Amino acid sequence: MRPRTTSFTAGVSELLILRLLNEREMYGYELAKAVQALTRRRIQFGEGLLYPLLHGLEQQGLLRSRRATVSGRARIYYRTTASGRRRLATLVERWRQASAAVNSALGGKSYA
Amino acid sequence: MPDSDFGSLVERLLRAGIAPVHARRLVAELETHYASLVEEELARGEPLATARSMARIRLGADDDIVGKACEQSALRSWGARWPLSVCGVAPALGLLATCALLVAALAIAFFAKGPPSAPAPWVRNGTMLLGWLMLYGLPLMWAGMLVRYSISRRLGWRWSVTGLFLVAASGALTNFSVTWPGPGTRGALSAGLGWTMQSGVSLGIRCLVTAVLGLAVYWLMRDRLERHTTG
Repeated sequence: MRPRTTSFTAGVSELLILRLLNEREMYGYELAKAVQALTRRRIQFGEGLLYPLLHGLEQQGLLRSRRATVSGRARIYYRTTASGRRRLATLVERWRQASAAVNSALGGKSYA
Repeated sequence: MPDSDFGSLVERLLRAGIAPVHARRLVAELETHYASLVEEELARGEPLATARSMARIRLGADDDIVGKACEQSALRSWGARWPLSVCGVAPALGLLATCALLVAALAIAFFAKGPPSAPAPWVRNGTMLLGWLMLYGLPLMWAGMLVRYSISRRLGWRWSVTGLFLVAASGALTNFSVTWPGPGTRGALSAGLGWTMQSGVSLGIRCLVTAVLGLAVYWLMRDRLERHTTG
Protein backbone atom coordinates (compact mmCIF):
# COMPACT_ATOMS: atom_id res chain seq x y z
CA MET A 1 0.00 0.00 0.00
CA ARG A 2 1.32 3.43 -0.94
CA PRO A 3 2.02 5.87 1.90
CA ARG A 4 -0.73 8.41 2.49
CA THR A 5 -0.18 12.01 1.46
CA THR A 6 -1.21 13.59 4.72
CA SER A 7 -1.14 17.13 3.28
CA PHE A 8 -4.22 16.20 1.24
CA THR A 9 -6.39 17.10 4.18
CA ALA A 10 -4.70 20.45 4.79
CA GLY A 11 -6.60 22.79 2.44
CA VAL A 12 -6.12 21.24 -0.99
CA SER A 13 -8.98 18.93 -0.06
CA GLU A 14 -11.45 21.83 0.09
CA LEU A 15 -10.32 23.03 -3.35
CA LEU A 16 -10.64 19.58 -4.92
CA ILE A 17 -14.01 18.86 -3.33
CA LEU A 18 -15.48 22.18 -4.43
CA ARG A 19 -14.00 21.80 -7.91
CA LEU A 20 -15.55 18.34 -8.40
CA LEU A 21 -18.91 19.11 -6.81
CA ASN A 22 -19.16 22.27 -8.87
CA GLU A 23 -19.32 20.10 -12.01
CA ARG A 24 -22.09 17.80 -10.79
CA GLU A 25 -23.57 16.41 -7.60
CA MET A 26 -21.91 13.33 -6.15
CA TYR A 27 -22.10 11.09 -3.09
CA GLY A 28 -19.07 10.29 -0.94
CA TYR A 29 -17.85 7.10 -2.60
CA GLU A 30 -18.26 8.62 -6.05
CA LEU A 31 -16.41 11.74 -4.92
CA ALA A 32 -13.49 9.70 -3.51
CA LYS A 33 -13.19 7.93 -6.86
CA ALA A 34 -13.34 11.25 -8.71
CA VAL A 35 -10.60 12.78 -6.50
CA GLN A 36 -8.35 9.79 -7.21
CA ALA A 37 -9.05 10.02 -10.95
CA LEU A 38 -8.53 13.79 -10.99
CA THR A 39 -5.20 13.53 -9.18
CA ARG A 40 -4.19 10.38 -11.09
CA ARG A 41 -3.98 8.55 -7.74
CA ARG A 42 -1.00 10.70 -6.74
CA ILE A 43 -2.84 11.76 -3.62
CA GLN A 44 -3.71 8.88 -1.28
CA PHE A 45 -6.00 9.57 1.66
CA GLY A 46 -8.33 7.80 4.02
CA GLU A 47 -11.58 8.00 2.09
CA GLY A 48 -13.56 8.31 5.32
CA LEU A 49 -11.87 11.67 5.94
CA LEU A 50 -13.99 13.15 3.16
CA TYR A 51 -17.15 13.05 5.24
CA PRO A 52 -16.15 15.39 8.09
CA LEU A 53 -14.94 17.80 5.40
CA LEU A 54 -18.20 17.52 3.45
CA HIS A 55 -20.24 18.12 6.62
CA GLY A 56 -18.04 21.07 7.56
CA LEU A 57 -18.41 22.65 4.11
CA GLU A 58 -22.16 22.08 4.23
CA GLN A 59 -22.35 23.77 7.63
CA GLN A 60 -20.48 26.75 6.19
CA GLY A 61 -23.12 26.96 3.46
CA LEU A 62 -20.65 26.07 0.71
CA LEU A 63 -22.40 22.78 -0.14
CA ARG A 64 -25.96 21.53 -0.01
CA SER A 65 -27.04 17.92 0.25
CA ARG A 66 -29.99 15.73 -0.58
CA ARG A 67 -30.82 12.17 0.40
CA ALA A 68 -31.64 9.53 -2.16
CA THR A 69 -32.05 5.76 -2.01
CA VAL A 70 -30.38 3.93 -4.88
CA SER A 71 -30.61 0.12 -5.13
CA GLY A 72 -31.85 0.02 -1.55
CA ARG A 73 -28.83 1.95 -0.27
CA ALA A 74 -29.24 5.41 1.24
CA ARG A 75 -26.93 7.97 -0.28
CA ILE A 76 -26.36 11.64 0.41
CA TYR A 77 -25.55 13.66 -2.67
CA TYR A 78 -23.64 16.93 -2.38
CA ARG A 79 -23.22 19.88 -4.72
CA THR A 80 -21.93 23.43 -4.44
CA THR A 81 -24.05 26.43 -3.54
CA ALA A 82 -23.56 29.96 -4.87
CA SER A 83 -21.29 30.67 -1.86
CA GLY A 84 -19.41 27.49 -2.65
CA ARG A 85 -18.81 28.62 -6.22
CA ARG A 86 -17.51 31.99 -4.99
CA ARG A 87 -15.24 30.22 -2.49
CA LEU A 88 -13.96 27.94 -5.25
CA ALA A 89 -13.06 30.94 -7.43
CA THR A 90 -11.14 32.47 -4.50
CA LEU A 91 -9.31 29.22 -3.75
CA VAL A 92 -8.38 28.68 -7.41
CA GLU A 93 -6.99 32.20 -7.61
CA ARG A 94 -4.99 31.74 -4.40
CA TRP A 95 -3.69 28.38 -5.57
CA ARG A 96 -2.55 29.85 -8.90
CA GLN A 97 -0.75 32.70 -7.16
CA ALA A 98 0.94 30.35 -4.67
CA SER A 99 1.84 27.90 -7.42
CA ALA A 100 3.31 30.69 -9.59
CA ALA A 101 5.30 31.98 -6.61
CA VAL A 102 6.73 28.53 -5.82
CA ASN A 103 7.55 27.85 -9.48
CA SER A 104 9.27 31.20 -9.67
CA ALA A 105 11.26 30.42 -6.52
CA LEU A 106 12.32 27.07 -7.95
CA GLY A 107 13.49 28.77 -11.13
CA GLY A 108 11.54 26.46 -13.36
CA LYS A 109 13.65 23.44 -12.35
CA SER A 110 11.96 20.12 -11.74
CA TYR A 111 12.49 18.78 -8.22
CA ALA A 112 10.15 15.81 -8.57
CA MET B 1 -12.40 -5.16 11.27
CA PRO B 2 -16.01 -6.29 11.65
CA ASP B 3 -18.83 -4.04 10.51
CA SER B 4 -20.17 -3.63 14.06
CA ASP B 5 -17.17 -1.48 15.00
CA PHE B 6 -18.89 1.56 13.50
CA GLY B 7 -21.01 1.65 16.68
CA SER B 8 -17.91 2.44 18.72
CA LEU B 9 -17.03 5.20 16.24
CA VAL B 10 -20.36 6.94 16.95
CA GLU B 11 -19.54 6.84 20.65
CA ARG B 12 -16.03 8.18 20.06
CA LEU B 13 -17.36 11.04 17.94
CA LEU B 14 -19.94 11.94 20.59
CA ARG B 15 -17.32 11.88 23.34
CA ALA B 16 -15.11 14.11 21.19
CA GLY B 17 -17.89 16.72 21.24
CA ILE B 18 -19.41 16.09 17.80
CA ALA B 19 -23.15 16.83 17.75
CA PRO B 20 -25.27 13.64 17.67
CA VAL B 21 -26.87 14.56 14.35
CA HIS B 22 -23.47 14.84 12.66
CA ALA B 23 -21.99 11.79 14.42
CA ARG B 24 -24.86 9.54 13.31
CA ARG B 25 -24.99 10.87 9.77
CA LEU B 26 -21.22 10.64 9.43
CA VAL B 27 -21.20 7.01 10.52
CA ALA B 28 -24.20 6.17 8.30
CA GLU B 29 -22.30 7.56 5.30
CA LEU B 30 -19.13 5.72 6.34
CA GLU B 31 -21.09 2.45 6.53
CA THR B 32 -22.46 2.96 3.02
CA HIS B 33 -18.99 3.85 1.75
CA TYR B 34 -17.53 0.79 3.48
CA ALA B 35 -20.14 -1.47 1.84
CA SER B 36 -19.22 -0.04 -1.60
CA LEU B 37 -15.50 -0.59 -0.91
CA VAL B 38 -16.12 -4.21 0.16
CA GLU B 39 -18.06 -4.79 -3.07
CA GLU B 40 -15.21 -3.24 -5.05
CA GLU B 41 -12.60 -5.48 -3.39
CA LEU B 42 -14.81 -8.56 -3.87
CA ALA B 43 -15.17 -7.67 -7.56
CA ARG B 44 -11.36 -7.69 -7.77
CA GLY B 45 -11.48 -11.30 -6.59
CA GLU B 46 -10.46 -10.78 -2.96
CA PRO B 47 -11.95 -13.17 -0.36
CA LEU B 48 -14.56 -11.60 1.95
CA ALA B 49 -12.28 -11.30 5.00
CA THR B 50 -9.56 -9.58 2.95
CA ALA B 51 -12.11 -7.38 1.19
CA ARG B 52 -13.45 -6.20 4.56
CA SER B 53 -9.99 -5.60 5.91
CA MET B 54 -8.92 -3.68 2.79
CA ALA B 55 -12.13 -1.63 2.82
CA ARG B 56 -11.54 -0.62 6.44
CA ILE B 57 -7.95 0.39 5.69
CA ARG B 58 -9.07 2.45 2.68
CA LEU B 59 -11.68 4.18 4.81
CA GLY B 60 -8.98 5.41 7.20
CA ALA B 61 -8.21 5.01 10.88
CA ASP B 62 -10.91 5.91 13.42
CA ASP B 63 -8.46 8.27 15.13
CA ASP B 64 -7.98 10.21 11.88
CA ILE B 65 -11.72 10.40 11.20
CA VAL B 66 -12.45 11.60 14.75
CA GLY B 67 -9.57 14.08 14.52
CA LYS B 68 -10.80 15.43 11.19
CA ALA B 69 -14.33 15.79 12.54
CA CYS B 70 -13.01 17.71 15.55
CA GLU B 71 -11.18 20.12 13.24
CA GLN B 72 -14.57 21.15 11.81
CA SER B 73 -15.79 23.39 14.63
CA ALA B 74 -19.24 23.64 13.04
CA LEU B 75 -19.75 19.91 13.69
CA ARG B 76 -19.24 20.25 17.44
CA SER B 77 -22.31 20.48 19.63
CA TRP B 78 -23.16 23.77 21.32
CA GLY B 79 -22.51 22.12 24.67
CA ALA B 80 -19.00 21.12 23.60
CA ARG B 81 -18.27 24.58 22.22
CA TRP B 82 -19.76 26.70 25.01
CA PRO B 83 -20.26 24.40 28.04
CA LEU B 84 -20.61 27.18 30.61
CA SER B 85 -23.27 29.04 28.63
CA VAL B 86 -25.18 25.94 27.56
CA CYS B 87 -25.05 23.98 30.84
CA GLY B 88 -24.79 26.80 33.36
CA VAL B 89 -26.44 29.96 32.12
CA ALA B 90 -29.05 28.81 29.56
CA PRO B 91 -31.03 26.36 31.77
CA ALA B 92 -31.18 28.82 34.67
CA LEU B 93 -32.28 31.66 32.37
CA GLY B 94 -34.75 29.33 30.64
CA LEU B 95 -36.24 28.41 34.00
CA LEU B 96 -36.65 32.05 35.01
CA ALA B 97 -38.14 32.91 31.62
CA THR B 98 -40.67 30.05 31.89
CA CYS B 99 -41.66 31.21 35.38
CA ALA B 100 -42.11 34.76 34.12
CA LEU B 101 -44.29 33.53 31.24
CA LEU B 102 -46.43 31.45 33.59
CA VAL B 103 -46.96 34.36 35.96
CA ALA B 104 -47.73 36.70 33.06
CA ALA B 105 -50.31 34.23 31.69
CA LEU B 106 -51.94 33.94 35.14
CA ALA B 107 -52.00 37.69 35.59
CA ILE B 108 -53.63 38.17 32.20
CA ALA B 109 -56.15 35.37 32.79
CA PHE B 110 -57.30 36.45 36.23
CA PHE B 111 -56.52 40.08 36.71
CA ALA B 112 -56.81 41.74 33.31
CA LYS B 113 -60.28 42.93 34.12
CA GLY B 114 -59.55 43.65 37.77
CA PRO B 115 -59.29 41.14 40.62
CA PRO B 116 -61.87 38.33 40.45
CA SER B 117 -64.54 39.02 43.05
CA ALA B 118 -65.38 35.49 44.12
CA PRO B 119 -63.22 32.91 42.37
CA ALA B 120 -64.67 29.44 42.00
CA PRO B 121 -62.93 26.66 43.99
CA TRP B 122 -61.44 25.18 40.80
CA VAL B 123 -59.87 28.55 39.98
CA ARG B 124 -58.28 28.71 43.44
CA ASN B 125 -57.11 25.08 43.24
CA GLY B 126 -55.87 25.47 39.68
CA THR B 127 -53.90 28.56 40.61
CA MET B 128 -52.37 26.83 43.62
CA LEU B 129 -51.44 23.90 41.40
CA LEU B 130 -49.75 26.23 38.92
CA GLY B 131 -47.92 27.86 41.82
CA TRP B 132 -46.58 24.46 42.93
CA LEU B 133 -45.70 23.66 39.35
CA MET B 134 -43.71 26.86 39.14
CA LEU B 135 -41.92 26.39 42.45
CA TYR B 136 -41.17 22.66 42.22
CA GLY B 137 -42.15 21.33 38.78
CA LEU B 138 -40.39 23.79 36.49
CA PRO B 139 -36.97 23.50 38.22
CA LEU B 140 -37.24 19.69 37.97
CA MET B 141 -38.30 19.93 34.34
CA TRP B 142 -35.32 22.14 33.44
CA ALA B 143 -32.99 19.93 35.47
CA GLY B 144 -34.31 16.92 33.52
CA MET B 145 -33.78 18.66 30.19
CA LEU B 146 -30.23 19.58 31.21
CA VAL B 147 -29.49 15.97 32.24
CA ARG B 148 -30.89 14.61 28.98
CA TYR B 149 -28.91 17.13 26.93
CA SER B 150 -25.61 16.58 28.72
CA ILE B 151 -25.92 12.78 28.56
CA SER B 152 -26.82 12.78 24.85
CA ARG B 153 -23.84 15.08 24.10
CA ARG B 154 -21.55 13.17 26.48
CA LEU B 155 -20.61 16.42 28.24
CA GLY B 156 -18.24 16.33 31.17
CA TRP B 157 -19.81 15.72 34.58
CA ARG B 158 -18.44 18.96 36.02
CA TRP B 159 -20.49 21.09 33.62
CA SER B 160 -23.61 18.99 34.13
CA VAL B 161 -23.37 19.12 37.93
CA THR B 162 -22.63 22.85 37.89
CA GLY B 163 -25.66 23.40 35.66
CA LEU B 164 -27.87 21.30 37.93
CA PHE B 165 -26.91 23.32 41.00
CA LEU B 166 -27.50 26.59 39.15
CA VAL B 167 -30.97 25.40 38.05
CA ALA B 168 -31.72 24.20 41.59
CA ALA B 169 -30.60 27.52 43.09
CA SER B 170 -32.49 29.63 40.53
CA GLY B 171 -35.62 27.55 41.07
CA ALA B 172 -35.36 27.91 44.84
CA LEU B 173 -34.98 31.70 44.58
CA THR B 174 -38.26 32.12 42.72
CA ASN B 175 -41.36 32.88 44.79
CA PHE B 176 -45.00 33.07 43.99
CA SER B 177 -48.13 33.86 45.99
CA VAL B 178 -51.76 34.75 45.39
CA THR B 179 -54.00 36.68 47.77
CA TRP B 180 -57.62 36.18 46.93
CA PRO B 181 -59.97 39.09 47.38
CA GLY B 182 -62.22 39.01 50.44
CA PRO B 183 -64.45 41.45 52.28
CA GLY B 184 -62.54 44.71 52.34
CA THR B 185 -59.37 43.31 50.80
CA ARG B 186 -58.15 43.37 47.24
CA GLY B 187 -56.70 40.34 45.53
CA ALA B 188 -53.04 40.32 44.58
CA LEU B 189 -50.64 38.19 42.62
CA SER B 190 -47.01 38.39 43.55
CA ALA B 191 -44.04 36.68 42.02
CA GLY B 192 -40.35 37.41 42.10
CA LEU B 193 -36.83 36.31 42.58
CA GLY B 194 -35.03 36.73 45.87
CA TRP B 195 -33.94 35.42 49.23
CA THR B 196 -35.04 36.35 52.72
CA MET B 197 -34.03 35.03 56.15
CA GLN B 198 -37.60 33.88 56.74
CA SER B 199 -37.68 31.82 53.58
CA GLY B 200 -34.18 30.38 54.09
CA VAL B 201 -35.24 26.89 55.18
CA SER B 202 -37.89 26.37 52.52
CA LEU B 203 -35.46 27.77 49.94
CA GLY B 204 -32.83 25.26 51.01
CA ILE B 205 -35.31 22.38 50.85
CA ARG B 206 -36.48 23.33 47.37
CA CYS B 207 -32.89 23.68 46.19
CA LEU B 208 -31.99 20.28 47.66
CA VAL B 209 -35.05 18.53 46.17
CA THR B 210 -34.17 19.69 42.65
CA ALA B 211 -30.44 19.10 43.01
CA VAL B 212 -30.74 15.63 44.59
CA LEU B 213 -33.38 14.38 42.16
CA GLY B 214 -31.50 15.85 39.17
CA LEU B 215 -28.20 14.34 40.31
CA ALA B 216 -29.82 10.94 40.94
CA VAL B 217 -31.28 10.85 37.42
CA TYR B 218 -27.97 12.08 36.01
CA TRP B 219 -25.89 9.35 37.68
CA LEU B 220 -28.42 6.65 36.76
CA MET B 221 -28.39 7.67 33.08
CA ARG B 222 -24.63 8.02 33.06
CA ASP B 223 -24.19 4.62 34.66
CA ARG B 224 -26.57 3.03 32.13
CA LEU B 225 -24.67 4.69 29.28
CA GLU B 226 -21.30 3.46 30.60
CA ARG B 227 -22.63 -0.09 30.88
CA HIS B 228 -24.13 0.10 27.41
CA THR B 229 -20.91 1.34 25.81
CA THR B 230 -18.55 -1.01 27.67
CA GLY B 231 -20.85 -4.02 27.52
